[in-house]
This record gives sequence, C-alpha cells and structure tokens, in this order.
Amino acid sequence: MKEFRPNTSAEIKTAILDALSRDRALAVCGGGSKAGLGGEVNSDWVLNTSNFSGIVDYEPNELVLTARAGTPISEIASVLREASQHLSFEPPDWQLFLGNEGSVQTLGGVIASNMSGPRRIATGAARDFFLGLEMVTGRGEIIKSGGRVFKNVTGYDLCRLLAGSFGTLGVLTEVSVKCQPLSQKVRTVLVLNLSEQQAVEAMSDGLNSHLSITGAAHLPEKTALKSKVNYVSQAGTSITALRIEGVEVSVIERCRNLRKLMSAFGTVEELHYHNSKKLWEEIANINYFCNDKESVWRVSIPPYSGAAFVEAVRREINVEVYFDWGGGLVWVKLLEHKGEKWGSEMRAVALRYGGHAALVRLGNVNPKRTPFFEVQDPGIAWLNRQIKHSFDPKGILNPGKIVGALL
Amino acid sequence: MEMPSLDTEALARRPELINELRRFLQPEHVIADQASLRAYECDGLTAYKQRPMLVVLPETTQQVSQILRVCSDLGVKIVPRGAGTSLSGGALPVADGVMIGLAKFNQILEIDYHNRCAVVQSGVTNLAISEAVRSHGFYYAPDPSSQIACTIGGNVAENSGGVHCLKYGLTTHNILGLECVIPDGRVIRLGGKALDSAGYDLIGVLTGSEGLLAVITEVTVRILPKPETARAMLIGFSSSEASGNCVASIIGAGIIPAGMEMMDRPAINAAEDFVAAGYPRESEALLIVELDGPKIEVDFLISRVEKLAAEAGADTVRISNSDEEREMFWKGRKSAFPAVGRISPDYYCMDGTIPRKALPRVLSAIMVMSKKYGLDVANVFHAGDGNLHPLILFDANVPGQLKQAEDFGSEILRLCVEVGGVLTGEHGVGVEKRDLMGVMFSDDDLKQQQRVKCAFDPLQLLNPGKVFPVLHRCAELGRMHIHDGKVTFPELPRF
Repeated sequence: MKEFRPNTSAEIKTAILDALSRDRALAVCGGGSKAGLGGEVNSDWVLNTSNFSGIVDYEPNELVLTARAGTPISEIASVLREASQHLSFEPPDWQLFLGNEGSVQTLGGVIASNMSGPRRIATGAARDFFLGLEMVTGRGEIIKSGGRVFKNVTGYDLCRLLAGSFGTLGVLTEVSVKCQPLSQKVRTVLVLNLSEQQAVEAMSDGLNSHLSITGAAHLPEKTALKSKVNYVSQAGTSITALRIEGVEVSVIERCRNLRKLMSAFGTVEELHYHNSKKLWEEIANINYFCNDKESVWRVSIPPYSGAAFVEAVRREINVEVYFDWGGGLVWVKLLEHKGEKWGSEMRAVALRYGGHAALVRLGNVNPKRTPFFEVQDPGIAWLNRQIKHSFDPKGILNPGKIVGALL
Repeated sequence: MEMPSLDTEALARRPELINELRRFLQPEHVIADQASLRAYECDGLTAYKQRPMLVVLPETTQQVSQILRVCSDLGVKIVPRGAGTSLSGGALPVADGVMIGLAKFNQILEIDYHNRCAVVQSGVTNLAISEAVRSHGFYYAPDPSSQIACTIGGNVAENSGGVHCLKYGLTTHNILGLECVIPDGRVIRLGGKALDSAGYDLIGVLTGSEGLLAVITEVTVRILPKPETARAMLIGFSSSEASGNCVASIIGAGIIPAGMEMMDRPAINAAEDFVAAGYPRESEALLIVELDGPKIEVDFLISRVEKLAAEAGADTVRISNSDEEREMFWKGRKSAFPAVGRISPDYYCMDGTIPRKALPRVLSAIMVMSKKYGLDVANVFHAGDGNLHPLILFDANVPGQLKQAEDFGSEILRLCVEVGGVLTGEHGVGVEKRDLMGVMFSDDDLKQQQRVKCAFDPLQLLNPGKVFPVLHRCAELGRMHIHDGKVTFPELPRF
C-alpha cells in the first residue's frame, strides 16, 4: 500500500488532490498510538502526518501554543512543563490499552479524537482548549478557522467540528491550543469500601461542594487490585478517589474539608503528589484493562446514573467496570462473549440512561457488525452526513472510521 | 450595508402566509400591523433598522417546526430573535422575511443538581438561570453585561462571553444539550446530561452560529457550585503599558483570576461620574482583578497579586472587604457602556480580540486614529483574555459622523487581525462586521464555512445577509471539477 509522509502542508494538499483525482481513499494517521481505534478504514493509500512536526509558536504569558499536527504530545508536554504549564484536559495515552507500544501520540491525533482525561469534569474536554486550526479538507483546500486567542466568535467554530472527527473531514496541519498553569500541589482523597451507587453519591457530593474537585473516579475492588499505587491495590476494597489541586495552602485546607465531608460515606485516606499523579494516569490511560484482549466499551452517561447503568448492564452480561468523571464516564470490559447482537443492546441500555456507548477495543467483536459508535437519531445522522459531504464530498478521508457505514 | 435583494414574490405572498400561520398560531401571535412591527425593527445595534414582513411568537417547539416548514415550503426567509440585545445586528430583520420571536419560551423545565445541569427553554434570560439555582448555592457561569435581558438561546447563538470567561469559559464551554429546529422544520435534540455525545460536535458548531443554522428552542446548561468567596481589587496605573505588564505578570505567575478587566482614563471617568464606584480618576489605566475560591486561597492570591501590582508600578490598590464593596467595584465596569452613553450622544462599541502582548501597540494606534477621525474613544478591555471594547464617541445627528465612526471601528478591527487577533471576541459578526470577514479569512476559508451553512440550510432561508460578505448558491459551493467521472486538477504535480 502506498504511504505518503508529507513534510509540508502543501504536500498534504497534494496527496489529497492526488487521491481525489485518482479516486483513491486515504487512511489518515499520525504516530499510530490509536491504531485499531474506530472502524476498519477501507483505504487504498495511507497519509501519515508524523513528519509534519514541530512547535511553531509558544508564548507562556499568552497561554497559547501552536504546533504542527504531527508534533509528539511528549515534546509539547516537556516544553510546557518548563514554563510550569500543561494541557489541562490531560490527554490520555492509550498505547498500552490498544496494544500499540512504542508508537507516538501526536497533537493532531489527540485533537482529532477529542481525547480528554479525568480533569474533563472540571476544566473541559480537548475541544474546549482547541483555539485554532489550519487543515486540508477532503476537497483538497487549505483552510483555517479560529485563531490564537481564547475569546473568538468570528465565523463558525470549525475547531469543534474537527475535534472528535477522527480525520474524516480533513487533515489537520496546524493546531493552536490553550495552555494552563500547572498546579503547585496535588492530592487525592480516597474513600474506601463504597458500593457503586454510594460512590456515585459521594462523588456527586464532592463535585457539588465548593472544594473544586478536579477528578472523581471509582474503582471497584477487582479493578483497584490492579493499581500500581500500593495504597489502592492493598486496600482490599473498592476505592473512590477525589482529586484536589491548586496552591498549597488551599489544597491542604480543602483536603481537610473534603475528608470531613467524605467521612460520612466511609473510611478516608489521602494520597500525596507522586501516588496521586500515578493513580490519575492509570485511570486516564485505562491501565486496568491493558493486559488482556477483551472488548471494552466507553460509555458517556449522566454522572448520577453511572451506577444504575452498570447495574442494568450486569443484569444482561458479566462485566468488569470502573468509573471516571464522577460516574459520567464508565469503562466496561466484557467478560463473556454474547454474540454480535450484544453491541446494539449495550447501546440501547446506554441510551435508556441518557448516554451513548462507543466500542473502543474490539476484542472478538466483528467491527462490520458492531460499529465504533452510532448516531441513532435520523435527523442527527442526516446532519452528520451533510457535514461530512461539505468537507469531503467524495468520501476519500478515513472511510468507515466512524459511525459504521453512515459516513 | 447591502442586504440580499428583495424577494417581491415572498412579499406578494404575505396574506397567504398570514393565513397559513394563523392555522396553528393564535391570531395575536402573528403580528402583522405596521405599528406593532416597529418594535422589532432593530436589536442592540441601533444604527441599522428594518421592519420585518411579519413577526410570529410561537409557544411550543412544534409551532416553531410548523413555522419553519411553512416558510421553507413558500421559500420565505426567517430571522430568529431572543431578547434583541445583539450588538452586531444578529437579529436585524429582513423586509421580506418572518421574524420568530422566542419570548414565550420562558420556562425553566428542570434543575438537576445531582448532574449539575438545568434544562431551560431558549427564551429564559441568562440571569434567571443563576437566580433559579442560587438557593442551592449554584450559578450559571457566563455573564454577559446584558444578562438581565439577554436570553440563553441568544447566548448560544452568539457564544456569549462576559467578565468571567478567563476562568469559566464562554457559552460553548458551559452547555451540554440543545433542542433546535433546522430550516426544513425537523426538530433535532443534541446531547443531554452526559458530557459528550456521538458523532460530530453539532452543539459546538451551532454555538456561535449566529442564528444561521437552526432555531434554538431548549438548552441544557452546566451549573456550578458558587465559589465560597470572591474578592476584587482595584489597581490604578499611570500608564496602560504598566497595567498590561501587570496582567502579563499575573498570568505568568500561574494565577488565573475569575475576572481581569481594564479601563482607560476616559472610561474610568465616565463610569465614576455615573455610579461613583470609587475609581481612581487620576489613573491612566485601571485594572479590576477578581479572585474566587476558598477563602484561604483567595486571601493568599490577593496578597500575591498585590505584590505583583506593586512591582508593575501600581499607583493605587484597593481590595474589597465585603460582597457589597466587590459589587461596587464591578458596578462601574458593568455600566461602562451606559456611562459612556451619557457623555456622548452616540457611541459605537467594537469587540476585537488581540494577543495580550499587543495591547500597548494597539492602544497607542487607537489614540492616533482618534485624532485622525476627530472622534474621542474610551476603552474597556477584558484584559485577561485579550478582548478589547473601544467605545467610539460620535453624534449621529452630525452628517457623516456615523460613517466616520464606522471607518474608525473598521480600522481598529483590521489592526486587531494584523497583530494576530480576531474581528470579534463575543459580540458576533452579524451585519456589522460581515464585510470585514475577508480581512481575516481567505475565500476558501469562507466558502467552507458557507458549505457548513448549506449542510443545515440548503435553501439559505435562515437569517440571511448576516456573517458572510459574499453570497454563493449552495449548488455552486458544492461543485467539484469532474471530468470522465474523476475529479481533475490540471495543475497537480504528481508524486
């Protein structure tokens, strides 16, 4: 298969024009850290953006960084760290989870898949920090949208459309993101031995307080056992974790108040900087489901319904789960294979509880029968197709990557 | 300002349209008499006025759907309107179109504290949401200055900001779900109480689409627990450079204040004359910095900002010691526009955003322009996020002055783009900045945006004449060069 590794945006444009004129489909990829995520792409050629790399501009006092799409996230993180800043949506790294060890996670890939970590509940998703873009559309046109400033309503917000579009609308070439100051202090309060429903209630109380919680997750006992943080794996119970960040005086005081609030639910412990950091990385990176091959679903649900949703799923099938986003993000690993029809049942249960489910690791599911995710409402599906058509009328970019045959 | 050519056919169908609409709307909700229509002839951008062909006031989403269906069947243009507070002419009517007023969509449908959200109809005012959840210690974060009057539907259409955006984001960061009606009459429900949804981010692209893609009927907003404490500081400087440096050093120190506003001397004095907030009249620049959070954190950060202000050469520093005092500090800023309205017969408010570091350059250029155009200017500035509001003072009764003010404004916005900024930070493009879009975007950029418009509204009936300087037919925009069934690019170099 022919692979393009363009070095400039003009070359990316040429590759797309070439594909258009020869009626070829392109699989668009970056460093390959998310290979296998999404539907099987039915393509003739590969367009790999990893050579188009490098930070174009970074001004810490403006809180804005602009980089080429192929720039490794690790490079961006280390440059930001020198200025005591970071990408506060905590881009998760799914290399281990998806079996892509040794690959490189790029800025373009993170934005194109709108991947956000535990801090999403407090400060927002990847798309909330996505200020501006330059891209080549499926029509082979180089366009820009947004800018390098935070407050901007000039024209449609195409950045939001591109975030989470998985390379199906265009190929990002340059991306501007908002950066945030790093917190001086990080601590995590643990509550031991809560049921899933109790955990959802405890997390809700935490998030509804004015203690500015920046992470709220629950690991059932079986999942907690797999943690590399000793306090968590050796607790011998489920763990509910609430993170507090900020300036030292404030973190100490808020931790004290949070422990008080949480002691109504159960025994309370506290993790300090390194353990805390490690725990939230595990949660973001789905480390608990890494050393196996079973199907894994990512379910986004109203946070307070997280436990009830899982209970409904358990009535149908044997699963292992854990919760992030205060209950609003549930990772579900199937422990048995119930045939292809199970996929639509998972979606139906998620829908019943006001959420939606994406199949993020196939396991032994046939991707042709169970798409990555699905847009069920016919009106919404029509709008998705209309938008796809407006950017990529010939359907040459990542065909089959999302929403099955719809796009 | 040139608007799309008048559709005489649509005007001729007015009686038929009234009959059709009165089949499902109460007669008094179809406004057709010229005297009543006059109330709708402009929004907050009062320099432009146009009486609409008709105004309808639906009460249900189904009625909105029926209205859009009737209009698209007859090929009649539609302009949605919330409270009409747009400063860019987003709700300016068209003479041959129906205006849909959403004033009757004023119900708060559900407040869900467990999931920290509220489901409200689109005509509910911004402030009413915060008031409805206040007793439980919550609020809705975006707070545009017009929050008493402006509707949440309008906030979504314009992606409204406010003085607390730096820390809490714009409208787009604070909504979870939408119900809207697309121009062919279909009702679309997007998102809900979960934090994301499947498929392309349609909520994201609808937010800030200025009423060109759909009519919004219901919004699910995030509500936040109110911070335990908030304190504000008034910091006076003898130059705008010094105050700009202070802003940079606060951000550079890793502090993100809840709000950080700057006013120049003319704005300070106008506000002080109006509300006597205790602003330092002798200062060339005033910073209002608000910090919120746990009391211990706020006290700690206030003392750090105080130190940074002293290092930046502040002349005066005042720190609020009560909520009343804090509100007084804000009162001057929040009433800056009406305050300037008192010292000048008319004013024209601009809304560019610039990288913060460009502030001294832009402010001194504005002073030069002020002399060139012979018009005074007062500056208020969302300093934290670089959003500049120069208020150009003029008198519309003096022939030529409106034109002068507009030219002055357009020169400011061109400069904003030149220094790496944008045309509008929160007021929207509307009709006001429509013809400047080419300063910031190429033809290809704008054509792709219009293709998104066509995706929702292939007949281009919704809010015509706004945002895009050049009209293209959707069919023309969609065209690709096809030869023998293949797309052709004669100029294409081969690999």
